[in-house]
Amino acid sequence: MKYFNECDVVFNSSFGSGLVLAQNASITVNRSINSTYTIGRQNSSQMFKTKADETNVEFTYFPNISDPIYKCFDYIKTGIFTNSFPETNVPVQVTLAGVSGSFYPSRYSLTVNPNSKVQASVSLSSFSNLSGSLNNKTTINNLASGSGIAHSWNAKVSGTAALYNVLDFAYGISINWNPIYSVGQQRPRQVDLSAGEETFDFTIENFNSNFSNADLSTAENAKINITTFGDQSIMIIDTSGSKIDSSNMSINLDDFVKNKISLKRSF
Amino acid sequence: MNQSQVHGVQDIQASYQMPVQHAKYLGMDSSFYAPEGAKGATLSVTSLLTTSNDFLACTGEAGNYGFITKKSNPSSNVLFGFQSGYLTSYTCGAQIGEVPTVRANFEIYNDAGSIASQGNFNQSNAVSLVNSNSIDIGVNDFTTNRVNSFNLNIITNRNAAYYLGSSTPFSVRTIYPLEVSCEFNIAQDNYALQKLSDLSYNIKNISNFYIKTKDFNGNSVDFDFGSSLCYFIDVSEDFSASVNSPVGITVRYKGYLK
Repeated sequence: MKYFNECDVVFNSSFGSGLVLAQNASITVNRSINSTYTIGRQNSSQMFKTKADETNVEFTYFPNISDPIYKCFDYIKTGIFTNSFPETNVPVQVTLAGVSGSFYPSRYSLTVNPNSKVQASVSLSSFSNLSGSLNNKTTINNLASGSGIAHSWNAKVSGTAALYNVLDFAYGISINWNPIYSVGQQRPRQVDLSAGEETFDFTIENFNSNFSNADLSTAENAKINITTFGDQSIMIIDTSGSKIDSSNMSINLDDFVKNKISLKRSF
Repeated sequence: MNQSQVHGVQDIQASYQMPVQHAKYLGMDSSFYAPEGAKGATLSVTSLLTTSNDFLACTGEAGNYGFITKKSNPSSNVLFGFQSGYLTSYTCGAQIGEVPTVRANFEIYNDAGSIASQGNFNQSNAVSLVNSNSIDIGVNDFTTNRVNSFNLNIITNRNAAYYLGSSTPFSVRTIYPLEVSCEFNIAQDNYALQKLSDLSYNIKNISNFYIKTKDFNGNSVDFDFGSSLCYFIDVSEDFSASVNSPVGITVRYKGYLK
């Protein structure tokens, strides 16, 4: 059996490569088997595949200075906005404990809570075969301190004044991939990017229910710059172009009044 | 403390905690450390009860700053200093024949340690200690029962809120109501214990509780919360009897400040 410190998660892409500081990881192969039944028969008449195999790898990790994963999602999103066909740099290679494959980035989320390390969750999808087998790690990594990781103490929010004083922040992006198959082929002929959506959740002190167009225009321009303890930028999350989706004020005993503003942007 | 010298201090305990955790990750050869949680420091001061009763005023909403210094040239000789110290508990206790002592515990939300001095240091003349023979306790039950000791405790829990990008809170608020409790040890004469079956809505309630003291010059130091103290009820009683000692009862009251 392998123990957790003998298995690593490695990300290889044109956006950067290296060990991921993963807290947990999983890989799932979905074969989509279904059954048919006919009137007059008690047992299944046939079992068949309803769609092609799809493999998902998911992990949570601590983003750090050399993090290529957010860059990958940001590149795809930015490419769509600038019409530069970002699909050319995907899929990316992910190796989990020696099992590797080509994956399309499908979901990314991170949360920034006060006095805590930033933690991100990632999901990637593959429509092709995996390779390799459960093996010992290939990387050697001795991090003495976490000075290079993302931390709430180094998360600076700028832009719209209403979003300056942020108590916590959550970001999410999802990208839909559309595999296109030819008759008689087990694997997709091509994988197209079909749509995507970003969400930005800010918890702030003030509540404003007057969602006029003017509020929309002012609420859409915040930047969250997360740096290392040495002030090197790890990621900049830009909300420009987003719209207020909801505003939820809550009051609890022994606590401050909090308002969660959710912004949304689709592409 | 807050530019005034505190007199009668017997003991000081100060410490800070670095909120550091070792983080593990898949494939690690060794873990790494990183901050996780709020920075914090604590200060605990024990002093004799004086007429200035400095720490009782700290039960309010405001933060406090203070310095432990050398006696000579104090502003240049800070041994330990703190900023944004909030009182979390205040205890005043006394036994027969002893000067009442006060214990104040603070949580510190800003800087602490060898920090630069702040403001002026006013070294005032010593204030007077409380005369232990002057203690007057306003609990009617004890008029014919000798009080051996008492312990008055005020809890002031705090809630700190942080913005992203900052390791110090932007606001520290008191969690109300403040809990006031007092424990008396008495030598029983005709004191009647409660019954457990009384513990519904028929609990003994002290309506005008107070503890009043005086220094040797007759100056008062009072703990009299008046009508601010709600439902000061008898929540617990201990009975003890052993050879060579009088029958003793410990009674605990608890209430809340509006």
